[in-house]
Amino acid sequence: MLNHRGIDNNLRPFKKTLAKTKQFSATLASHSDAKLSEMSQALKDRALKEAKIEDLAPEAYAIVFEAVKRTLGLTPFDVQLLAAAAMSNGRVIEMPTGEGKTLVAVFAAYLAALSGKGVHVLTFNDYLARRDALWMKPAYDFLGVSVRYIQEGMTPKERKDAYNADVTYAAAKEVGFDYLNGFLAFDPDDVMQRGFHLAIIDEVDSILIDEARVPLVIAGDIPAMIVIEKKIFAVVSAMRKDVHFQTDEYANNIFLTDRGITYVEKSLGLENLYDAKNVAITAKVNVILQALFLLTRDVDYIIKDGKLLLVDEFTGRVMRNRQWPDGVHAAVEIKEGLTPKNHGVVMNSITMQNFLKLYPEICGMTGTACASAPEFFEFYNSAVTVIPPNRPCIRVDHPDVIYTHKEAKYRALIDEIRKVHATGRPILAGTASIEESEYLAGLLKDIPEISVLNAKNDEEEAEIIANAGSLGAVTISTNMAGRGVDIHLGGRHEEEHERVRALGGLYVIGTTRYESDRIDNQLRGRAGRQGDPGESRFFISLEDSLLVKYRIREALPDSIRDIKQDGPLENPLIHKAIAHTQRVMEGQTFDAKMTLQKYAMMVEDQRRIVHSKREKILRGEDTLAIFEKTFPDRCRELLTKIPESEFLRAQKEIELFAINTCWADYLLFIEGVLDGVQIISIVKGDPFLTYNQKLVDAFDELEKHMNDTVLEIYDTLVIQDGRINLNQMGIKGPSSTRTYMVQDGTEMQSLINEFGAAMFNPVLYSFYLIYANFKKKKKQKDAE
Amino acid sequence: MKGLFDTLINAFRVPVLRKKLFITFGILSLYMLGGLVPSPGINRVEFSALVQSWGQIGGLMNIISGGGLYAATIFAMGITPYINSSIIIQLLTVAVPALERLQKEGDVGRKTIKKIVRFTTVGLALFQATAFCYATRSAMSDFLPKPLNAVLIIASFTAGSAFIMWLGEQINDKGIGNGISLIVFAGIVTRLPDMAVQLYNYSLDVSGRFDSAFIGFIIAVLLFAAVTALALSIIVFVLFVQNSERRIAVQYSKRVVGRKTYGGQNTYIPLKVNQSGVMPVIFAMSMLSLPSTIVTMFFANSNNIIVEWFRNFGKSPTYYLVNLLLIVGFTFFYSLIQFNPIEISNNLQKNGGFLPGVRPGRPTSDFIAKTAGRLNWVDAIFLSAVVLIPTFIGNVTGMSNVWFAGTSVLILTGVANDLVKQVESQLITHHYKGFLD
Repeated sequence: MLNHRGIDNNLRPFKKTLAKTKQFSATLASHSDAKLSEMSQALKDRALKEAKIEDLAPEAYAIVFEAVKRTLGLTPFDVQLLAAAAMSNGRVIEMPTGEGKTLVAVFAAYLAALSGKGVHVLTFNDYLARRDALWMKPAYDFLGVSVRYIQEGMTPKERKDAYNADVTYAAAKEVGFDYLNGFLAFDPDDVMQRGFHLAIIDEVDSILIDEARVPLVIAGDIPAMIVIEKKIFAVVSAMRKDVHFQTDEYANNIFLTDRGITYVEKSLGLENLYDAKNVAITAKVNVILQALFLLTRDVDYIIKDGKLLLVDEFTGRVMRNRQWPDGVHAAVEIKEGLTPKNHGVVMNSITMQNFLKLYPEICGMTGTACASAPEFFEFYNSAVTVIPPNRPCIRVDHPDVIYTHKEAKYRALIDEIRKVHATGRPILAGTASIEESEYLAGLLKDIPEISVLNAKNDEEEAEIIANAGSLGAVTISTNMAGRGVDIHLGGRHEEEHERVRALGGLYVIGTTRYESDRIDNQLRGRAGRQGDPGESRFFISLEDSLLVKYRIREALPDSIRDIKQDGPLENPLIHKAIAHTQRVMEGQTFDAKMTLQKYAMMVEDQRRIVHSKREKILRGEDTLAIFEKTFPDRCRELLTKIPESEFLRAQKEIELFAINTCWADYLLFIEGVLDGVQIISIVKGDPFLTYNQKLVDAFDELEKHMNDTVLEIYDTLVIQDGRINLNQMGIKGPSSTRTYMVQDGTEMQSLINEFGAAMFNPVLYSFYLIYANFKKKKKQKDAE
Repeated sequence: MKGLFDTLINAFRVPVLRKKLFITFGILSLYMLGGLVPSPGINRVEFSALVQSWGQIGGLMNIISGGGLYAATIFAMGITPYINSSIIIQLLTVAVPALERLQKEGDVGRKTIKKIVRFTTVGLALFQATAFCYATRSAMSDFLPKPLNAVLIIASFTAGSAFIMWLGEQINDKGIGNGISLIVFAGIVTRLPDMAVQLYNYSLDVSGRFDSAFIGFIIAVLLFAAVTALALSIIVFVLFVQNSERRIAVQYSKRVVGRKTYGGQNTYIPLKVNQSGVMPVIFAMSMLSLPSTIVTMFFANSNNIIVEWFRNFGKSPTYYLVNLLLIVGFTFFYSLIQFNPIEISNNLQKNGGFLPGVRPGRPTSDFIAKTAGRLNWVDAIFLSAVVLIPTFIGNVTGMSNVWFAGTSVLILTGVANDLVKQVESQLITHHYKGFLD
């Protein structure tokens, strides 16, 4: 029943489970609370003995059903039970907003937790982890299942306790970071997690798709390698676009022009900037150029409390502890007049995608899964199942209104907001950036009920959202308002609910289309929850960055492109062009992810090997023992000075330290290889093969480097009072900082194997090549 | 060669790869078996004689169809329609915006394009089969009324080609390597026994010229051994050149390096010596054989001096000179259109890379173009030698078909190389010398 897009909507097996659950449920209603708890305990015992958890599903669900009813006062709908059954089956489920996904998770979590192995409910952020865990806690308590949650800023001890609970609610990246931190532990007790069993992922498309490529990175306190000098910074600041440097079409890359090169050489007194000995300077110039001219304040980052904070492109949220790589971050800090901090060196990293693959089982839920179904299937082998809505969605999605230029768009937007606001109907306007949200709020500042939600005031998020549905509310937001946000009609005033309903429910206005229609739909989905009425409409202009960036504007007929009019355009071409661009963007992102995944495979294998070796050493089950082997005499001599236990302790810590530093170096090396292999596909070679070969060879060297590092440390041993003083030698468990490293715009070029097709059709093929070449040259010319 | 076998042996140790290789070999065997099924409605002897008279073009088509053309099997058209259709659609993706859009839409779009290629293949096959049937109408058998017979032949040829396309796609999807290349490869390999038989017959013929049976035998054995040794050495030489590359060192300024460095750290642009593959040879051959094919097809009975000259053109010294010039010319032409130093230089710049001592932009692309230009000469001389020496030997000894030996070797080694690279590429992710465990 699985279709080619990775969607399986066969609900029959789950309906069976539902029917059985209802049978059990009918018998439970009359039981006392104590009796139910007892039954829950009995079920746990059976799960441990009889093993087959799936068979217990109907009973387990029925008990949860009662527990939820008695403790939370909620009566789960049939569709929620169906959803739970699908999730227990490893599916990704699509459920409309407001239909109680949080509750569904309890059913699936309880069933899996029966085995006692620990279930992780991964949420989109800390706030949701805490909210959901506390909200559902009474039900879990009733069932005798321990539940904890994790928040940023918790101590390792608190975290460890949380992971030891039956069910742990946490933001996905927190769990990922804790996993990476295990790599830096010098004491087995510092490892917080107890293995991975099942992950129930909330807002699964966001975590598995949007964030999957962003690597989680931990940095140690070893100083970073690029230090930005004031002099170079001053030289680069004086440069001008298109004179000294150029950017590529998508503004992902920046490079010097001939004039720019000469200017840098003259200003810094260099003979040839591109001489091998000047690599460090070229690197710095590059980094500063990026910081100054590619990254924009209030779009890519904000400054808050004297700190540089990055803004996530997909969610519009501030990403705390996120940083740009290799000195770019420091350069932006200098640009904004902040003191650049020492950001340290990457000690270990893993992509969200690979991290989640550590779980033998995953399942997920979201309001928008279908669009990404092929990806779930390709990367996680999970089929998507659409759960029918409890109450059909009656939201009206209007077609886009398109204007020729931004002013006309804003004028129309403002008119629309004022007109609708006059009726008292609540409005949510989703904008493209912090900048735009503030601009729009500025235009509407005479409306007293207006509130702005963006990365700068995200701590007020809960408050703003709670009011967003109330009578007369106007909320201007970035795409932050897309996730885990449930806007209740009438807000806190229950009595207003019906009035707002009568006015037509929440009115969602988009001021721009995003790069994926999934994100557009997330915004639309804020209206029309649980059968509520609602409307959505996007206002766009031909000058919007999406249209400019992907040259949709240029593809339009001259008659449309060059006019400026106040009224909206009526041309179906534009709708088509936008839909197409979104599909192309998704296609390309998908390809890029496939390629990146392919390239990550080998590193991931190697990382796991190193990780497990380190874990064994950490637990004292293994050792490199290279010092004893290489210098048995020195080893014997050393043992006369210190007791054996001390020797073993030092040996362990030295080895752990060596593994960490060498792995950090190795990661840098891999980055370099990745840059270098791209060129190979252009000269029709196989970059993947080259890449893997280099990694295989280097992995052998890695072992040698680790051994060498260990031996070097023994050369500098400091012995005091029969103890080896490792701290004095600079060896200590590095206190790690968690960072999110943002990747730069380099994407792998896919290798096209033209060999077979090219070989036997001289005439046709040469014609093709000439034509393709002609087109390419024309493009280059146009670009110039 | 040794590396090739090592790779294959290692590949068989990995279950996933073993399965893929078995599937690939299975499909290729199926292709070879299918190549034995004669097409109904054709007088094979007449048909064969007719197509053989088409000269080198007919010979080339025969080789590509794995001998199916001369033998009048259902695979007579071989994979040609599929190749044509792939190229036409590829060509149209550049020219037709709708297709270009599809191409960019990722996986779903590519699946649609595949479907279009499939339908086009069947269309082309139908067209080509009709043309074939018309051109060889004199070789039809006469059990059935002519129009019915024609339909039978056209249907057989079309079905054969569609089946081969399906085989090729199966290799792409479930096997390893490029389906089209491997099917062509298999076609040439099936011709090898024929070539051996020919050589044997020739040796026999030579030995008969000696009075003493013993001396004749020795000479024949020596001749057989010498030709085989020559063939092997050509293969080794071709493999060597096909795997040679000139490496231009590249430095990246975007990244810092760690405290410990790795041997593989230096990156480079690998410029292949035999960058153009076998293309210039095929170009040259098509150009050269065109006049003689026209002469054979349309002026078969004429004794005109010009016709006569073209008929014997393959044996004249001018042939070698013109062939040489064409190969050299096409090598440069191909490099000109296929190799874009500006693209390389731009890519470097985007990634923060540069050639040590060379400025980015124009100077870099100039440097790359100059280096590539020098390699083109080596490439052209290499291709000319591999193609012209066997042709010369063929002319001297009077063995037909040897003219194609050089080109065959280029194709065979090219495909084999490609396959080994792909196997290695997959092998390396499954099976590598893991340390620490």
